[in-house]
Amino acid sequence: MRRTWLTILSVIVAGCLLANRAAAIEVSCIEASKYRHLYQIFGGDPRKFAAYLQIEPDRLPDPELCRAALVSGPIEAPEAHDVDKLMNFIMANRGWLATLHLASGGGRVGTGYLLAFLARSFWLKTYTVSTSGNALFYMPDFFVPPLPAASATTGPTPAPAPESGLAQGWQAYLAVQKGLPRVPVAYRGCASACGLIHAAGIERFGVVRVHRTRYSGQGTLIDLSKSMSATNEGLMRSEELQVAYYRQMDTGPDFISTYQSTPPETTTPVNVSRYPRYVADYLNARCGADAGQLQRLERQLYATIANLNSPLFGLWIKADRLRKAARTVREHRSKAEQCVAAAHERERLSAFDKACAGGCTRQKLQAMVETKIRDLAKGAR
Amino acid sequence: MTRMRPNRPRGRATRRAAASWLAVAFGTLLSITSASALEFRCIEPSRYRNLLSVFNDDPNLFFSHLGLPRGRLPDLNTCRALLITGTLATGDSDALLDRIIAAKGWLAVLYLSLEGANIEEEARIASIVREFSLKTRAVRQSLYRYQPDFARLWEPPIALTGTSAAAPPARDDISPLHRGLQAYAVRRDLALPLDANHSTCNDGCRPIWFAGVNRLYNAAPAGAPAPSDVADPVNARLRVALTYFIDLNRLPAADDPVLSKPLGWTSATPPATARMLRDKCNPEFAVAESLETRFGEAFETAARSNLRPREVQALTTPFEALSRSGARLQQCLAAALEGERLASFGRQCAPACDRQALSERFAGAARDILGRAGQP
Repeated sequence: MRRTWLTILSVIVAGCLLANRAAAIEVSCIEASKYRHLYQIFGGDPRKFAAYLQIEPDRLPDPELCRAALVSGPIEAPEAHDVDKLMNFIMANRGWLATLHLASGGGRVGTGYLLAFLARSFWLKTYTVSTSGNALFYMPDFFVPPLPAASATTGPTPAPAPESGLAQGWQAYLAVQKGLPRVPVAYRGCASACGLIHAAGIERFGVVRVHRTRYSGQGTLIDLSKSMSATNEGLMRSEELQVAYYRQMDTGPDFISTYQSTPPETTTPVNVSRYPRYVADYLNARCGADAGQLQRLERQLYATIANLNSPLFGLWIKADRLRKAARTVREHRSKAEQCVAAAHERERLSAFDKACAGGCTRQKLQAMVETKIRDLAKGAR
Repeated sequence: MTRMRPNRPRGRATRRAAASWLAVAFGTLLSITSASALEFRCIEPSRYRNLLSVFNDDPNLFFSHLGLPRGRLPDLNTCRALLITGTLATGDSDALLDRIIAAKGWLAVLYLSLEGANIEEEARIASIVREFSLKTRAVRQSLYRYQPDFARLWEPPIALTGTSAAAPPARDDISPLHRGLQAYAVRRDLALPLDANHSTCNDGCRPIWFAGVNRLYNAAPAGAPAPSDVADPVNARLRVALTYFIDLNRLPAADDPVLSKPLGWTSATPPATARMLRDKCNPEFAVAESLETRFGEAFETAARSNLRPREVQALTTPFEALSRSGARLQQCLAAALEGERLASFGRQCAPACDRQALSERFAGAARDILGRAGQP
């Protein structure tokens, strides 16, 4: 049995070796995520940033480091050095890289696993890339932008939300962002093997397009040179491994069933649950609120207001109570999101310290992720 | 030396031919000057055969949603919406009348992307639009997607379970049209064929837009200068007076400050239409408003408990109730507008449409309004 799983792994690696396309992923710094720009939110004061994320003020990132990377292009075989690119980027940012913004239509599953375990090992968050037109749209991951000033309301004044004192800083940051060059994004989504990386995020945002696995032939979607029995047995084992992987990443039952039921010639969009369940439970207990649930409630409130107030029918009802509720939710959510961000910040920094204790090397990290893939294969048995 | 004489038409037949050529040329010239310069194009996805899919291809749903007694469907090739482009000229109002008559009351919406000014023609078209209870959409930038005017796609409420809890299956029963609208929304021909250089509804387009019983527009591009009629202050004043008359059935006082203000883009619904809608959908309004209050109370209870996950989840029920009542209210409003338009057509065209008489009546009405509005 053990030999069977080793065979699957070797097939995955061999699959990777088959590729010889020149294109590969690009891992680039999102300029707007450089800490020197992000400090603008806090009036240019790094200590306030440290206080917001509850980190030691004597351990602050170099202003030139990047908090977010854009991962774009097709995921390729080992000789394209996709994994090295991400590894180097993580190491260069010394634990301060927090999020990956994914813009890839997929590619090699084997490389996808390696990139994915790298992302999870370093406690990174994943986003399907957001765009405005065809340019990257970046929002910091740790901060809920303040709402415009509300009109006077009656009743008790709620405790100020954490971002309320940062409205000016937020405007200053937006002004800086506006002055930065636009980053064009060729593929505006995350599909296929890119979903493996997305699923590995410790916080996941955006839609992924999934499909069942396949053996691709030379210039054909399905490799018809293989026999039906070999195709069926091989791909069933590959699917078991992938399902085991999604379970481990705790993407949710919808994600897995959508993956299993989507034929390889198409893709189906699916939402990944924001956190793995036990991370959610932990954060809910720690922060006294469910930030993901509050985010959905806020979204639902605004969607309902937009629906009810549609001018399409000539008249509409007032939705003042819904608007007031949306503001209240935002205040609660800001506090919850700050608490969640702070918890992730600590965990990510300690994950980096753990992985890179005594110095980070490519070999060490490579060995770490390969061990995780081996463990996955064993677990899938 | 022989002087060559130019060839000249000779004989009676030749003279006759020349005369008829001149007549044709003159006739053509006349027809050019009086021809309609606006172009009326059917918006393909608005043909009733395409719109039927919104109703799950179910005629019962078509009649019930639009509040109509079961009867004959409209000719399925009829267009519910027209895109009007080109430059205003004399005769355009008659061309619009022809389109309305041909659609037998089933033309409901005009997308306006026209240019130019012709105050008398503007007044005629505006009167026609209002008297036939048509809806108007002003094109203010070149990206505009056709959207059915009688239903809105309500996405199923998002599950409000905790992040780590299993989400129940999404509800898609907020409106019986949900699936049909969802399928319709993925059509690839919904973007209007607009010319980026000639797509702004301005000048003469404005009073026509204003005459709609439900007037909407797409947002102007960021930073675009506000349209203004400053170059033609007399027409600007006349247009304000005209729109005032169309909405309120009287002219503003000569010193009314409204006359010196530019035409706005606000107010989706004329006062008379608003009254009619409020009256016909009173029960639905009452229920929707009451459910919004009920949601507010449920939310305050949850907020008092610090929006704990269980309290937030409990908001699912009042949310769904509110969403359903909102969709029902919109269905009632859509039906009321539909009924009003068909009744207007019946009033104008009973027992049959007399195009000549209608044309003269609208021309007379336009002259009358402009005559009175133009007096100091």
